[in-house]
Amino acid sequence: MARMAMLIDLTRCIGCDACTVACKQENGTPVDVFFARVLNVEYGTYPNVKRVYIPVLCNHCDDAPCLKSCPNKAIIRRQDGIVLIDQDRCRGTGACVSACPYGNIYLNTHDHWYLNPDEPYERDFVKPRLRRNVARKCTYCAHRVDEGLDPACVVACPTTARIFGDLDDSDSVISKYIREQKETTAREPFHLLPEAGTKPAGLYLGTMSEQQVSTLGERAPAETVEYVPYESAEPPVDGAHAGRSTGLSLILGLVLGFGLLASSAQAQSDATIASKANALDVYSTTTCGGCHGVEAMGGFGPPLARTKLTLEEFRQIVRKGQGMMPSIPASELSDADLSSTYNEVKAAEWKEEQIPIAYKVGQLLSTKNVSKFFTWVFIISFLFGLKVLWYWLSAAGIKHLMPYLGKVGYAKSAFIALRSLVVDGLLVASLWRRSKKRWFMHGLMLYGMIGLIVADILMAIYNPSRSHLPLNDPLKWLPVGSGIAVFLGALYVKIRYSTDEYIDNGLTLGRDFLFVNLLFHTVFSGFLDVWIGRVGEPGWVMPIHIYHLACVALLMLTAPFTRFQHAFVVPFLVAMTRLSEAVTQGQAHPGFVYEPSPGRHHKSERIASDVIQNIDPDFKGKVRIRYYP
Amino acid sequence: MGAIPEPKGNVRVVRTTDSPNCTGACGWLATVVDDVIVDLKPAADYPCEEYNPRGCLRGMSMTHMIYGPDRIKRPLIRTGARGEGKWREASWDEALDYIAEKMIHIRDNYGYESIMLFNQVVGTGYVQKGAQIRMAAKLGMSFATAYDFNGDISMGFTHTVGIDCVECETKSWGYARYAILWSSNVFQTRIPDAKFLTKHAKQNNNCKIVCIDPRCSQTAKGADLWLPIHPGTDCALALSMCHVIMEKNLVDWKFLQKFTDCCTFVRSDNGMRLRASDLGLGSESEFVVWDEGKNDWFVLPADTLKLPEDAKFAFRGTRTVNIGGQDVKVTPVFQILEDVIMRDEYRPENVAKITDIPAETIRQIATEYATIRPASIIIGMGINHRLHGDLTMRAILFLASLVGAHGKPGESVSIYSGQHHFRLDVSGWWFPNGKRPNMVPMHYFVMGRPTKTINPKIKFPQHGFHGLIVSHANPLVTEFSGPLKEAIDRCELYVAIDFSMTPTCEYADVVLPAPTFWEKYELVGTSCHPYLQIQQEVVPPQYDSRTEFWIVQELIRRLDPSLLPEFDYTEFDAIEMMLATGGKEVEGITLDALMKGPVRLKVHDPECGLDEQIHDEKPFPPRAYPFPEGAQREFLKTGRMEFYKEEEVFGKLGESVPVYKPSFEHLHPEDQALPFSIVTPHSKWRVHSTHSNNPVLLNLNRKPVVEINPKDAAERGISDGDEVEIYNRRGSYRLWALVTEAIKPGVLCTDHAWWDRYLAGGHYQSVHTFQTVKPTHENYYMPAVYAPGQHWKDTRVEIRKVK
Repeated sequence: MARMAMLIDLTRCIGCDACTVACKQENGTPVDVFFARVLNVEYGTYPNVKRVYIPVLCNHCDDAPCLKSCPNKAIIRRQDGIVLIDQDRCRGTGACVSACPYGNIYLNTHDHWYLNPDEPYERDFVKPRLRRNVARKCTYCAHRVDEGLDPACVVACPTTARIFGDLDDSDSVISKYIREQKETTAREPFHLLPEAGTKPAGLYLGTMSEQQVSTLGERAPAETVEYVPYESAEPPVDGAHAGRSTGLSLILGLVLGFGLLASSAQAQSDATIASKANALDVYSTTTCGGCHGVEAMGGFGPPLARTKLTLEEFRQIVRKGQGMMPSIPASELSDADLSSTYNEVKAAEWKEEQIPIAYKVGQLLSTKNVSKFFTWVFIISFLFGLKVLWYWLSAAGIKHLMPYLGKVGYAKSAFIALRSLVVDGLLVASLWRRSKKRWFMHGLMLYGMIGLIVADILMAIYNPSRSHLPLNDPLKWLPVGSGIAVFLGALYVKIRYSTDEYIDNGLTLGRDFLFVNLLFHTVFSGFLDVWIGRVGEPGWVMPIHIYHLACVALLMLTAPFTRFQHAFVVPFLVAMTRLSEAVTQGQAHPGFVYEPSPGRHHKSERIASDVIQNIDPDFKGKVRIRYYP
Repeated sequence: MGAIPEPKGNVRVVRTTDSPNCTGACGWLATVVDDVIVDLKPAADYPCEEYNPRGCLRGMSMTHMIYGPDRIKRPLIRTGARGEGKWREASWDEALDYIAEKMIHIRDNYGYESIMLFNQVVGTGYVQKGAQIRMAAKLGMSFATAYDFNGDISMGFTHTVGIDCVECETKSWGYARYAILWSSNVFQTRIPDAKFLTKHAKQNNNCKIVCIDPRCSQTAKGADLWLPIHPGTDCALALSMCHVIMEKNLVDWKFLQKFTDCCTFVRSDNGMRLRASDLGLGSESEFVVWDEGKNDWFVLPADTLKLPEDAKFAFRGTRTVNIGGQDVKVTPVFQILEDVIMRDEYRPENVAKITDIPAETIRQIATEYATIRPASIIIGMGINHRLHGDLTMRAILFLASLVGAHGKPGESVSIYSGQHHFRLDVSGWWFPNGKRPNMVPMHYFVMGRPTKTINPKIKFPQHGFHGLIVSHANPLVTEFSGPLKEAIDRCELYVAIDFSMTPTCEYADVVLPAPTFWEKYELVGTSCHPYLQIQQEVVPPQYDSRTEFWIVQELIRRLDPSLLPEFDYTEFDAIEMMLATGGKEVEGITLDALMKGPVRLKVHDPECGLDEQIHDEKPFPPRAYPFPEGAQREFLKTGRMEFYKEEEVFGKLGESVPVYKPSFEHLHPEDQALPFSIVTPHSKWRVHSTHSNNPVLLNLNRKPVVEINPKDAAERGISDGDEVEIYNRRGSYRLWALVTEAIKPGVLCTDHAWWDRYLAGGHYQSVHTFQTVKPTHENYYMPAVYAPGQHWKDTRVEIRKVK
C-alpha cells in the first residue's frame, strides 16, 4: 500500500504563489479557481505583528468528508490515497464544496477565462482539460504521479518547500525528510484542522524564524484615537441568532426523525393477514396458527384461556382487529359462532406449559411495545443524526460563517437556507437539471419514503390500534404505493451498485452496501410480511414480521452512519454552499470581496487560526488574512 | 476518470531561459504543441544542484502575456493625437518607412544625436538589445542606459568600491550564519533565490536573519528580528552600528589596512589625499601610509593589494609633513572617520531617537554582526532611491569593512539593484570598431536641457532631442512619467517597440510589435547566478511581430544601406562574436556547449562579490563591462575601498566621509510638513510594470492598494477596502486602502508600477519627488557606473478617504 502525501515546510515557504500558478497552468483552471492557494496571514498588532504563509491544497484525507458527502459517489479514494473527483460522474450538487473543511473544492456555475476566446492556447489546450459545471479540485496531479513525476506545484516550488512522496515507504523523500527534520530542527509535522477528524495526508512543518520585533514604537501608542481594527465591520457572534439557525435544523431533524419512526410503524401495520372465507373454520381447524403462523399456537391454551375480556370486548377485537389480529366481519364469522368461540376460550384450561415462546414474543410485539421500541430507536438515531449533521455543518465551517451571515441578515440567511433545503434537497434540483431519469429514481426512493412517513402519520391518526385494513381502503393505498416506489428505487440502486465499476470510492463501500441492503430488505420484508399473512403461511408470519421490524430498526439505527445520511446531510451541505455564495455575493466582508477564489474566506480563517495556534501557541487574538501584497 | 487529456499534435520540449528585468534568468522547459506553448516548467538542470529549481509565478504565467489580450499583433501608426488611442494597422514596410523618413528628417536638421534610444535592461539580453545599440553606435544616435534612469545605480558603491553595485551569487547567502536584510524584500523580489535564505541559511545554519524595513514585509516573515525603522534614517543606524563596533574595538584592523583607504592620509590644507609625489616618494597616482613598525612612510602598491607580512600601518595620529616647502598637517582617513562616527550624535542612545530602533538593539545587532561569522548584508532599493542614499551605502560598506565582512562565502555586502552588470565584454557586438553611441543619461532628455553641473564628458545634443525610440521599456509608468511626457511632446518622432500595449506604447507615434523572450534567440547572463544561457526561439515570433535584430536591419536598409554589411549577421553570429571577445569569464565557452544547457562562467565558486580583490588581491575597482580595464580608476584613485572622497564637491557638501543627513531636508517645507512617508516596494506580482496586465496575476492581486496602519486609518475615517486618495503638491491618485498592522504608523506603502488603468483615478505614483541631481554624482561620468540616480522615496504625502 502506498500513501501519497505532501509536506509543506513553512520555514522554506516564502509565499510566492509559484505553486498557485503552476497548478493553474497544469490543470487549466478557469478564473477564480485555484486548486493550490497560499494564505497570506498576519496576526498581532503593530509593532508585535507577525506574518505567515500557509499554502493550502486538497489534503487527500484518509477520511475524506467530500467523498463521504458526495451523493453520487463521484469522489473516490485510490489505493495510493489520492482522492479524485470523477469529472464524468459529478453532477454538480455542491455538497462536497461545503463538506470540505479546508475549502479546497470548486464548483462554478459559469467558467470565466483569461484570454481572448479565439486564442488557440486557451481554446485548444486549456479549456478542454476540465469539465464545466462539476466540482473540481486538486488531484495531487495524479496524471503526473502515475507517470512517476511529482505534482506541478512541487516541481515549481522555487524554495523546495513542498515535499511529495509515499508516507508508507520509509525510504521515500517525504519519510526521510520528516525523520531528518525531527533530528536536526526538532520539528514535528502537523496536520491542518485535526479537530475536523479528516485525517489529512497534507503535512506541515512550522516556521523557524522567531519574528521578534524591536522598536521604540514612537508613533504607535495613540490610545486616544478610536481604534478601528482590521475587521471592524464584523459584528460579534450573536448567540440568539446562532440559536435560531440551529433551531431550524432541530425542527428539520425532528420532521425527518418522526418520518423514520412513522414509516417503520407503518410497515408494522402492514403485518395484517389475509382474511379467510370462514374465520370459524380456520380458527377451529388451525386455531391461532391458521392466521398467525405456527409459532402463534396457544390460542386454545393459556393466553386466551380464562380470558378476562367481556364478550363485547372480544367481539370488538375480532370485528375491528388489533395489532396482528385481522378484522373479521360477520360474513365470515357470525355473531353466534363468535359467542361460542368466546365461551370455549373462556372455559378453556390455563396450562402454563402450553404457552409457546411464540406467544411470549407475540406479546412483546404488541402495538404498544413496538411503538415504545421504535420511539427509542428513533431517539437514538435522531441524536446520532444530529451529531452527524453537526459534524458536517462544522466541516462546512458554520461557526466561522455565522458572523458573516449576520452581515447578510439572519432572516435572509434563513430564507436562503430554507429555499435551498426545499429546492436542492426536497426537489433534488441538481439532479433534475442533469438527468431526468436519475431524478426519477431518486424520486421513487425519496418521495416513497416520505409517502411511508405520511402514511404512518395518517395511520396513527385514523387507525391507532393498527387494526387490519383491506387493501382497497384509501388509508392503505399510500403505504402500499410508497412501499412499491421505495422498493423499485432500492432495487434500481442495488442493480446499479452491482454493475457500477466505480462504486468503490475507497472509503465508504461497506457502509454504502449496508444501507442499500438494509433498505432493500426492509421494503422487501415489509411486502413479504403483508403477503405472507394474506396467503396464509402461518409458520412464516412471525419470523418475517420480526425480520421486517429488525430491518427497520437497523436501518434507522445505522442511518446516521451509512449512505442514508446523504438524504439529510446533502441538503444541509448544499444549503451551506448557498449561504457562502450569498455571503460572497453580498460582499459581507472585504475578505469575501478580495479572496481570489470566492466563497471560502471563513474556512481560510479557520485554517489560519489553527496554524497560528500550532506555531505560536501563546498568541491570543485575531488572525487576519490578507489578499493583497 | 476525466483525467487531463494528453495534448494531441506535434509535441516538442525546448530548454530555454527567460530574461525579464528581475534578472532571475531562470531556465525553463517549454512544452510546445503545434507551435503553441502549452506548458512551462522549471528546467532545474543547473549543474550546481542548489540552484534547482529556478522560476516563479511570473515566469510561469508568461503564457498569458505571450497570448495575452494586450499583445501587440501588428505595427500601429497613430491617427489621432498622442495618447488618444486612435490607430491604424500598418504593414511593416509602411511603419518602417514612416520611421526612417522621420529619422532622416531629424538627422538632416539636427543630426542623429538628437534621436535618443532608450531600451531597458540591456544586461538581461546581449544580442537583441545589443543590435539596437550597435545601430545607435553606427549612426551616432544618443543612447541612455536605463540603469541610471531607473535609479538603480547606487552611487555610494561607486564612490567606495568604484563600481555601482556588488553582488555575490545568491548561492553564497546560504553560507551565512547572520544576515541583515536591509530594506530588501527578498521573498518578493528574488523568488528563485530566496531558498538560499530559508532553506540553506536558516534551515541548515540556523542563521539569524534581521530585517530592517518600515513595514513588516513579506520577508520579515522569515526574519528572527524585524526592525521597523523610520524611513530614510538607515544611514544613522549604520553609522551607529559602526560607533558600537569601534567603541567595543571589534574592528578587523588587518582588513582595513589591506583593502581600504583608512591608513592613507588627508591633507589639512586642501582636503586632498597625501600622495607619494607630495613627499617625493613616487608618482602622483601613488599613495602613502605610515608604517609604525618601520617608522617610515610606505608607498601603497598600485598594482596589488598584497602587503608585506609585517605591515603595521598607522590608523590614528595627525602628522606634519613638508610639502613643497610648507608644513602641512596630515591625518589618517580612519581617524577622520572615527572623529565623525564617535561623535555623540551617533551614540545608539541618540540614534534610537532618529531611527526608532532602541539603543540596546543597535548595540546588540552591531555586536552580533561583528562577532558572528559569516555575516551577510543584503540591500534592496528602498534605501538607495533617496537623494542621500549614497551616504547610506557608504556607511553600510564601512560597517562591513570594519569587521572585514566582504568577499567570503556568506559574507558580503550585496545590493540587488537592477543587475545590469554584464557577465562578459559585449563590446565586440555592440560597439563596432570601438565606436559607441552618444551616451546621455535619460535625466537630461527628460529635463530637455543639461544641468549647470553636468559632467563635460556628456555631450548633450547641440540642438536638443527631437526623437525617441523606446524599446521594451515602460517609462510612462514610472514616478517620472509626467515630465517625460512633456519631453516627448517636444519630439517629432516617438517610436515604441514592445510586445504588450503598455501606456508607453499608447502614447507613441508608431508602435512596433516585438516578440517576447520566448520567440527569439538571445544570450543571457545575470548577476544572480553565474550561468550563461541561451534563450531559444521556442516558437517563431507570434502574430506579425519581428525581432529587434530584424527591425534594426530593416531600418539600416532604409537609413544608410552602406552600413548593411555591418548588420548582416544572425543571432548566432552575434553570440559567437561576443564569446570570442567576451573576456576571461567566457574563455572556452562555446555556442555548442550553451545550446546544451547552462554553462558556468569562469568565476570563483561561490562568487562572493569582490572576489578578485579580497581573494586575488587585485586592486579595486572590479571591472565594469563593457568598459575597459582601468576606466574607473579616475574615481577610485587609491585602488582601495575609499571611505574618504577627496574631490572638492564632496567637501562642499560635507560628504567627504559618510555622514547622516535627514532624508527630507531637501523637500519643500510644505512637503516636509505632510504626515506620511511613502514606500514603493516591488511586489511579486510584477517585474517593474511588466505583468501589470497579466490576467492570471490580476486574478490573484486584483486591485492596487495602499497599506496603512489602523491608527492612521482611524484618524482619517478610513476602513479596510475604502477608496482613498494619496496626494501632495505634485499630484494625486486614487486606489483602495489595505488597513494593516504590518506597517509602521506614519508610513504608507503602495507597490511599484501599477498601470493607471487599474487605479480608481489619477496617475500612479505621480506624487513622487522630481528629479534633482546631486552634484557628487556628476563630477565623473561613466554610463551606468558613475551617473545620477533617482530618489523617488524622498516623498511626503497625505491620504484621505474618497467620499
